[in-house]
Amino acid sequence: MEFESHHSESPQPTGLRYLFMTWTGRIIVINTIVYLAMGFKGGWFTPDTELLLRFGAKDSVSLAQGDYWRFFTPVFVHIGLLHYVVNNLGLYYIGFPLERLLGWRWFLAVYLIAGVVGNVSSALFNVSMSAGASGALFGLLGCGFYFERVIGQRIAESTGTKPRTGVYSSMVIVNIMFGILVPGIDNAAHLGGLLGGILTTYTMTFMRPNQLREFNPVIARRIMIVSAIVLAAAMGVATSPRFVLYRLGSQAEKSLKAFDSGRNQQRYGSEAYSYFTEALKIDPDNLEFLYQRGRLLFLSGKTNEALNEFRLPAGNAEYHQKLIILAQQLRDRGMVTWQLERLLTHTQPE
Amino acid sequence: MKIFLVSFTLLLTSSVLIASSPSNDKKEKVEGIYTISAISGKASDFYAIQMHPEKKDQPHLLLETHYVHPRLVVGLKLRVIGTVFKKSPKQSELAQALFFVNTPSGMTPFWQLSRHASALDLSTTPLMKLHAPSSDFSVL
Repeated sequence: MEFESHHSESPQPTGLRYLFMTWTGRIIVINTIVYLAMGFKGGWFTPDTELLLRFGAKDSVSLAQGDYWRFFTPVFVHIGLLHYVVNNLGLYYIGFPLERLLGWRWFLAVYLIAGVVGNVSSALFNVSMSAGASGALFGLLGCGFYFERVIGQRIAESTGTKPRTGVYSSMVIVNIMFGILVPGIDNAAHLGGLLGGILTTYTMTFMRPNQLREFNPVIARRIMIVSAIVLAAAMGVATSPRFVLYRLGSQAEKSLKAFDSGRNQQRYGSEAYSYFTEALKIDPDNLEFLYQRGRLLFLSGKTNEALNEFRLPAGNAEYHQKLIILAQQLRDRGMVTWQLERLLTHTQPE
Repeated sequence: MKIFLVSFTLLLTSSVLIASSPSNDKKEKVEGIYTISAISGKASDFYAIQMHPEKKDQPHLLLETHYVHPRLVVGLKLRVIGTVFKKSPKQSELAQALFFVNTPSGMTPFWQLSRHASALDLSTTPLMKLHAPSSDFSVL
């Protein structure tokens, strides 16, 4: 390995030298400044969605409306104290050894590219708002994991004995398991970050002279071009309003089915309502979404608000008929529906 | 004479009390063309809609609510009719408002209530929290 491998001459700095003289430390400082700024705005423990949005969290609707920088900024934003501490502690432990091994330029490249790939992956597979450095951290783990595998292979080739799986491989497995078992974790971003880290490291091994792989910048360039095309295409899909609407609509439908089946109505009703609300930010005249959101509002007792939602669908012949059926169903449940019936009487379908 | 004086004092006191008691009939109404200048989620379950008037002599308006119709967006210019329940030199806070929005179905009125509406004795339905932390955000 010739990746600035000067272990003996540069031990890990401590204190302020670590924070300001290494890029790992500087990233921790940036994360801390962003966290403090959010904290002073009231987001010490559980920042609300508006605050997260203001500080650059990943949000599918905002991406569809052109906030493309949200693929990058979530890397520095954390959701509360625990999230901030866990991610920055992780960065503190795994960051510097890799920075020393790769050099600061490649370390930053792996960290930031993995962070962006993680956010693109999150935007493709997860419609919820998300933020955090762990996509980028998974990229660093992916980098370590890759070296461990390749070096292990070289050792096996030369000695005939395969070394036992190392620390990075264990960390990757443990963290993936953790993501599967604990709800509310953006596994798509983690896996995307991991892939981004592995791919960047793999490309790097062709670009810099080293003892692992033959120097071949042509292959590296090809990988970079193909990766850039795939990433751009993925970004295009993730920011397409049609795709975001489809994802939100299908999530809402799932929650709505659970709500209609009668299990945990408060949770699934609220979830479906949130998804419809997000979808209506992109397409405020979507009659189906308005009808469904109105139905949820009506069933939760917010009659006035429900009627607002029904005003647009009521003018459409198909939805007018759906509203008549809904009124009948609600009456059968023993609900008061005179306001809805009055709206139907006063609205002439086209 | 004494009886007359006592009666007069009682009458005066009760008149003052009646005059100073809050009355629903005396709610101030406001109407005009407004532009929505901000819609902020002040907490996870309520929003503040701020509107500035087209005419300078009209007050700035604020409606704090649990619900925002998706048609109401920042920058939208529309006709607003509202009932004022709290006035300050800077702005008037609305108890309820009718927003007249141009939609594909024509001019459509949307009625929104203040989150303080239940305390203001307006005829309204129970306000229910429709907030789902699980679908609000996830942790990376």
